[in-house]
Amino acid sequence: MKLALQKAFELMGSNDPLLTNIVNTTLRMAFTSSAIALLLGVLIGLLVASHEFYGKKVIVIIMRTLMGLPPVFVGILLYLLFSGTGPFGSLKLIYSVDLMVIAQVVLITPIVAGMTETSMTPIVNKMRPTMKGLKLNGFKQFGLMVNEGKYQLISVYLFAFARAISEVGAVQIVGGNILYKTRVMTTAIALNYNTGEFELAMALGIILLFIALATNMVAAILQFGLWKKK
Amino acid sequence: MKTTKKVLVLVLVAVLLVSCFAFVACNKDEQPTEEVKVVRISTTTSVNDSGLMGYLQPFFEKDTGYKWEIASAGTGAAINAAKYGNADVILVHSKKQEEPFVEAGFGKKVNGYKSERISFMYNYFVLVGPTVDESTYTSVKDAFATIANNENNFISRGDKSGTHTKEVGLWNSELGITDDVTKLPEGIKGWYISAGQGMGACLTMANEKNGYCLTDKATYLSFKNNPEGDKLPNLHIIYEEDNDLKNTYTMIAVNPDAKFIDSVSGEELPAGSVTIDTVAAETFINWMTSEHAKALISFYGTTKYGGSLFTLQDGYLAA
Repeated sequence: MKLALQKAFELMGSNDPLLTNIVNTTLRMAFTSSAIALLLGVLIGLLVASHEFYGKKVIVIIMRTLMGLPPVFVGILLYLLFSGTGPFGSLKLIYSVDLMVIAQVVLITPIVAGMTETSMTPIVNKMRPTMKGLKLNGFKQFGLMVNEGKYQLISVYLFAFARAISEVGAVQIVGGNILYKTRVMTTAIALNYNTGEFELAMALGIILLFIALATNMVAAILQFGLWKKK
Repeated sequence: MKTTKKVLVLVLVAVLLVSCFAFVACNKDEQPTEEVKVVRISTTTSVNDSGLMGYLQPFFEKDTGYKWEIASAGTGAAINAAKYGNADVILVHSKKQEEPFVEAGFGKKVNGYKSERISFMYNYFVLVGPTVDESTYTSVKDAFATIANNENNFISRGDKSGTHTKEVGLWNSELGITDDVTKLPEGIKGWYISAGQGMGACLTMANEKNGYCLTDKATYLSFKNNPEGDKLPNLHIIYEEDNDLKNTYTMIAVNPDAKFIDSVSGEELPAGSVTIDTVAAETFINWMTSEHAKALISFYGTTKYGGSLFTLQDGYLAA
C-alpha cells in the first residue's frame, strides 16, 4: 500500500505520456457523459416532480428500478446494437469513446432523474402555489426550480460524475480497452490486475481518487458558497 | 430576486462551460484518427496480457504507417466480434474454435499463404502447483490423473477460453469434466474450483489455496518474475513442454464477403453487408511474418524473463 502511494506520486510527477492520455480520455468521457446525463436527468426528474398525472407512481417506480441497471448488461446491449452488423453499425461507433459516453448516459440518466425527483419533490411542492400565483411560463418555472434546488442538484451531479469516472463494466465492453484510444483509468486498473501489476493498479486507483477529490473540492466551494448567500 | 438570478446564471454558465470543454476536448482528439489508416484486431485477453502486442505496436506502426487497434475479450467474444463485423483480422489460440469459424466462411485466404489459418507462433501451457509437490509424472495426463485421485485443489478458468478448452481435454474422460460448467459432476465439487475468471485471477487463487492450475507460460512468468516481486510464492511449474500442452497462435484475415451475423437477431446477413479493410488485414499479417517481426518476437521476454516467451513456427507459406 505504501509502495502504491509512492508509485502514484512518482507517476503523477513523471508526466508519462500514456498516463496523460488515459487521464485525458477518462476526464473527457466522465465530464461529457455526466453533463449530458445531468441535463436530461434533471429535466425528466423535474417534469415528474412538478406534475401530477395518472400513472405517476408507476413512472417513479420504473425510474428507481432503472437506477439499478447493471453496467455489464448495458454494455452488452449497446455492444450488440452498435456492432458492425447491428442496427446502428453504420455509425461506426463500436470501440470508441463516443459509445462509452452513450453507455454511461444510459446508466446515469435514470440515477440523475430518480435522485432529482426524490430530492426536489418537497421543494417543488412548497413552490407550487407561488409559481401558480405568478403565472410563470414553463421555462421560467424550470429556471426557478433549478435555482431553488441548486444545493441538491450539485450533489446529484457529483453522484453522476462519481458513477461515470468509476464505472468499468460497460466501458470495457463497448470500448474494448484499446491502447491510446479507449483505455480509461478503470479499464487500465483491471488490465494491470490481470497482468499481476497490483501496485501499479493501486497507484492508478489512488490517482483516480485524487481526480475525484479535486472535482469535489470545486463543487463544495460552489455548493457551500451558494448555501451561505441564502 | 436579483442575486437569485445571478446565481442561476452562474450555475448555467458552469454547466455550459463543462459541456463546451468536454465537446472541444472530444473533437480535438478525434480528428487525427480519421486520417490515419487503421487495422482493427480482435484478440483474446491472454494474448493482450502477455504484453507482446504492446511491445510490437510501435515497430509495426513505424514500418507500415498503419495504426493498430487491439480490442481484447475472451476467445468466444473475440471470435464473435469478427462475426459481427467489428474486426479486420483476428489473433487467437483455440484450434477448436478457429476451425468452425473458417468453415463458416469467415476466413479469407491471403495471397502467399497455405490456408486461412496462419499459425505463426506457439508456446506451451504449463501446469503449475504447490511448491511442495515433489512427485514425478510421466506425462501431463498422468499429473492430471494424480490430482484427481488425491482430490487436490484445482483452479479452472471455467470461462470457455482457449486455456479452459485445453484443460478439460486433459482430464480422464470418466470424470465427466466438460467446458459446460453447468453440467459439472457432483463428485468433483469438493476440489475442482471453476473460477469463471481471467488467467491472472485464477493463478492468484491457486497461490492462495495451494492449488494446481493450467496456465499459459507468459502470464505465469509475468506474475512470477513480476517487477514488483514474486506474486506467486506458493506455486512452481509442475509440468511443461508436453506435446499435449502446445499452444499455437493463429491469425485469420476476415473475409469481407462472409455471411456476417446480425448482432441483434443472430441471423445471417447477405454477403458483403459490412465493410472490412482487407488491405489493412493483409498488411498486419505480412508484417507479423516479416523478418523484422520474427526477430522481435523471438527476442521478446529474453531480457525480462531470461527466455523467449514465444517460438516461431514455419509451414504456413504456400509452396
